[in-house]
Parts: sequence; structure tokens; C-alpha cells
Amino acid sequence: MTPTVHLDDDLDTPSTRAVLASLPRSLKPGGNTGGIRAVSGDRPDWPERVRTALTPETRAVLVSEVTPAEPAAVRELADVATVPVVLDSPWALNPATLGAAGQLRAAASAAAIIELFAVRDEAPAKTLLAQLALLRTAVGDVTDLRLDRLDAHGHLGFARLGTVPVQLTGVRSTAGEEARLVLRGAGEQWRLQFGDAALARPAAVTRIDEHGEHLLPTVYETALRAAWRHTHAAAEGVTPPYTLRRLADDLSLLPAGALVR
Amino acid sequence: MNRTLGVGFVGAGPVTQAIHLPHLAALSDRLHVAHVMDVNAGTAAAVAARAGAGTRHGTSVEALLDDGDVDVVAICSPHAFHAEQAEAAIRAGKKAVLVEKPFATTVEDAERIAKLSTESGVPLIVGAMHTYDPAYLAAATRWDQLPAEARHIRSVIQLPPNARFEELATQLHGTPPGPPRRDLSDPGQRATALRGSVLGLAIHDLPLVRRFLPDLDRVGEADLLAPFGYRITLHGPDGRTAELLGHMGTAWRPEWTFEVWSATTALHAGFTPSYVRAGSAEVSLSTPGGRMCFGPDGRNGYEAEWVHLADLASGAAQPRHTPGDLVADLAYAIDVADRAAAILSTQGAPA
Repeated sequence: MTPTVHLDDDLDTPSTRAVLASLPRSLKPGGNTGGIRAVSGDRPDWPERVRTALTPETRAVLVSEVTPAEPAAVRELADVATVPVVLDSPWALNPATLGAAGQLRAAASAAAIIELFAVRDEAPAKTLLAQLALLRTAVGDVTDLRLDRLDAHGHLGFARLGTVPVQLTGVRSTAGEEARLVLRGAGEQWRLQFGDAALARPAAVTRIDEHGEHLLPTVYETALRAAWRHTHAAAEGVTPPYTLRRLADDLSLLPAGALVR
Repeated sequence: MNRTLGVGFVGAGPVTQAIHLPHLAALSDRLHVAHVMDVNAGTAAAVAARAGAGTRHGTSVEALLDDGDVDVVAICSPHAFHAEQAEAAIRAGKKAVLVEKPFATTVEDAERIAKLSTESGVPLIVGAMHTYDPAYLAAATRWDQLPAEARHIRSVIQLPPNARFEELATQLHGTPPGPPRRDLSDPGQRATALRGSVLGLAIHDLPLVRRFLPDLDRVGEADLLAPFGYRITLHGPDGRTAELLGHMGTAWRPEWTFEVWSATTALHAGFTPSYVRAGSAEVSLSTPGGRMCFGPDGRNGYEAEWVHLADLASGAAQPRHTPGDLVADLAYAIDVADRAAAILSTQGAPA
């Protein structure tokens, strides 16, 4: 039986409807008590709202537009959640990211540097959190995050993946949305290039070495559709790629000031 | 037929052979190689022979400067000799002088030479080729307030080993020795290597960075990348930041980009590799009013630099960059190099 979807009012938008319309066998919009709940993560009290959504009828929860929250509150939520919680993220759940993750993880340990760069008209802390989610699902768990800059215009931070330096940069600008993940190694490079996450434009994933370059298959899917697809899979028992515990770990990397909205 | 301007090369290494001679040959209606000097007599003779039957050669800078057929002097010697040789070329009353990067090894030397250039009227340019790139300059006429409003600047130079492009640009005479091997577990040697990589590689686009981040408050992060490269972050007093990334590996694809963002505007310039005559950068400028594209132009920055030099030597143009700008560019590069090296010299050995 197709699970029904109960949306927060501010998530009941034409773009959400369009996504649900593209998954008619998996999801059925319009429920009030819903097998699947969608909660906006763009509100300060989103952990509490997710907790409220965890009713006996709920099979999975999708949190959209995740913004920083207290790591302890998120960890506690992970402890009490009796159903899977999927976290929407602009790049972490992209099918191109997850399709290349195995190769990226293998290449990452030999990289000279891992760069993440993003331009968006979004709060810089939110962009930084999305970059950390991308790192978790694409290359592995980073440590030792230091922020050289986090202000209204962007951020610049440094972390480590084992011994490999990781540089995270974000610029708040209206001059076009894009994001990149680049692994530069002595013998090979990997480049992931994302466009506007609201559009179903494919990420370009390219491996470059001395013999040439290889472009992985392109997949035309918005970030939101990927998140809904993973939510349906979670309701069917598949563990999501990015979980509340991983989010709590990422939030713990941030300095306290970055958690202020 | 009008006489073309004679060029004398001080130093005939790979940059002269693989970059300048092919570009000069493409401008043979205006310039010819008159004289080649190198400390290695065999190299000077071989490179001169390639340039033309009438090209003189030798191991003496004085002889080159005394050569009446030399109108323009190009100084392509090791960095430590640039200042002394530039000064001698100006004092010799040549029509124009090109000094390869860096202009000099100290700001004091550069100031002295800039003053001499101004007083003597002998125009001087520094071989920062991207500051002459036609597409970049075309974008500059349209970017409006971007230098004042820039928030973030990013310079990335990812290259395969130089040999890959040298072999496509020319057939080198002789193989120059590689850089000295350093013990990179020693903080002092790491600092020296980083300083060298700034003044050897990052310096190519530091004049562009300075245009958008003119006041340097601090260097935030500085480190070497394996097997060769650097990562450096710069901060201005007004919150502006710049990232400098340079890396050489064996992957084939070069990436030579310079990007700037403000709250509403983005500049993206993708330059072609130095050694090959692949035309100008391709530049895009995204503004609230739309997206503009510039290039590719048939001439790259090196060729445009030589055209400008010919115009200067023939009195048809004024220097695009003032002597003061050239000194400021060098001071900026040395400041970045010294501050970055200071960070490494105080750190322990890498993990």
C-alpha cells in the first residue's frame, strides 16, 4: 500500500507537489496523520517538531531545509526516534554523490587536498552544514573543523579527513548557485560539480588522471526528489545515507557561535 | 620594408625557448630576435641559431646591451639577477624592457628601477601575462563596481608537469636541472619551499588578486601540498577573503582559474596553459542584468604582452601598468610569500 504523506503547511508548495507527482507509486500526498511526515527544518524548533511527528502511525520522517540546532538535542532525538528520519540536503543525497561514494572514499585517502566550494543565497551556517553532510556521504568523516571566517557573507573553514587537509568555502551571493567538491591527488583528481539544487540538472562527476578523464553517468534529479525517494526507502526499511546521528556529529564540529541562527 | 624591432634575451632557458620565442615568431612583422645571451655559451649559440641566421649570441650581458640592433631587452634570467640586469638595460637607453616575474627580489630594488624607468623614459613591463590577457581586459571594462564590492577571490592553478607543455611548445635545447630537493620534515625548509612556490607559481595571478583584495590584513592558513603546491588564504581588513591553491600532479587536465564574487556579481576567468599558444582566457561575468562572456581571443596574455612591448618601444602606447603598480605588485607578492612562510616556519613537522 502506498504510504500517505503529511506535509507541514510551509512545505505544502507547488515544488513539493511536483516532486510527489513524480513518485506516484511510492508516495501519496494529502494525508493528515500520514505514514510519512515532512517537517520543515528551517524553524528553530525543528527537533521538537520532529519529536512530535513521531507518532505510532508514522513510518518515516523527512526534515527539509535543515538548519543548525543544538547537537545534544539532535542526538537525543536520534536516541528516541523509533522510525527513520531522513535529512534533506542539497548535495549529500544527490544520486551522483552516492553513486561515486565508493570510489571517492578510496581516492580520498591519497588526496593532497579536498576542496568544497559553494555559492548560494543562503545563510552561511546552513551552507557549511550542507557541505559537512556532503563530506559524510561522499568521502568520510572529517575531524578538527576550524573556522577562519563565518559571517553574513560566507565562511572559510579547515578540517581533516585522516591526514588529508579539507578546505570548506562558502560565498553568499545571488550570482548563480553552484557547488563543487574537488579531490586533488598526485596521480588523479575527482571533480563533483553541482548546479542549482532546486533544478533537476545533473551533477557532473569526473575522474581525471594522466590517461584522460571519465565522466560518470548523469542523473537528472532535484535534491528534494532524491530526499523523498530516500524517505520512501527508509519507510521500507533502508537506512538513509545521512542520519540524525551523523547530523549531530556534524553539529558538534561547529563552534557554538555557528549554531546561532 | 620597415625594420622590425630587435629583441635581446638575457637568459635562454625553457621560458625563453618554449614561451617567448614561439610568441615572438608569431609577431615577426614587428619583432625579431637580435641577440641571445646565456651563461652557457652552447645554449646561447643553439637558441640563437634557432631564432635566425643573423641572431648574435654570447655569454655577456654587456655585449648584448652594446648591440645596436637590440631595441628591446627581455630579462629571463634567474630571479636574483633581474634587478641588476633591468637597471643596466634602462641605463643602456634601450627602447623598452621586459622583466620576467618576479620584478626583483626586494621592494627596494624594484622601487629604484621603477624610478629609473620613469626618469629615463625607458618603459618597463613585468611579465605578468594575465594582466595583458585580452578577454580578461575586456571583462574589466564591464565589471563596474566589482573591485570595490568583492567579497571572495579564488585563484587556482592545477597543472601537469611543465614538460608536458614544453614539449608541445618547442623542442628544448638541453634539460635544465630540477629544483633542489628539500627535507620537508624541516620547518625551515618547508617555509623556504612555500616562499619559492608563491614567488614561482602563485605570483602569476597575484596582481589580479591584488586588484580585488588590495589591503592584506593577515594570512590565515598556509601549507604545502604534495607532491608540489600550496594552499594559502588571505584576509583583508574589511572581511574579504582570498584562496590561493596551486598544485602539480600527473593528471593531464590543467585548471588555471581566477574567480571573484560579490553579493550580486561573479567573475570567472579560465586561462589557457602558459606554454601553448591556445589563445586568451574565456571569461564570464554574471551580474543582476545578465551574463556576459568574453573571449576566447586569438592572442593569449604573452602575445598581447609582446604587442604592448612593441607599441611601447615604437612610442605608440603608454605603459598599461605604471611603474608604481609594478612595485606594488611585487611588494604584495613578497608580503604574501613572507607571511605564508612565517606560518610554516613556526609549525612543527607535518603529520
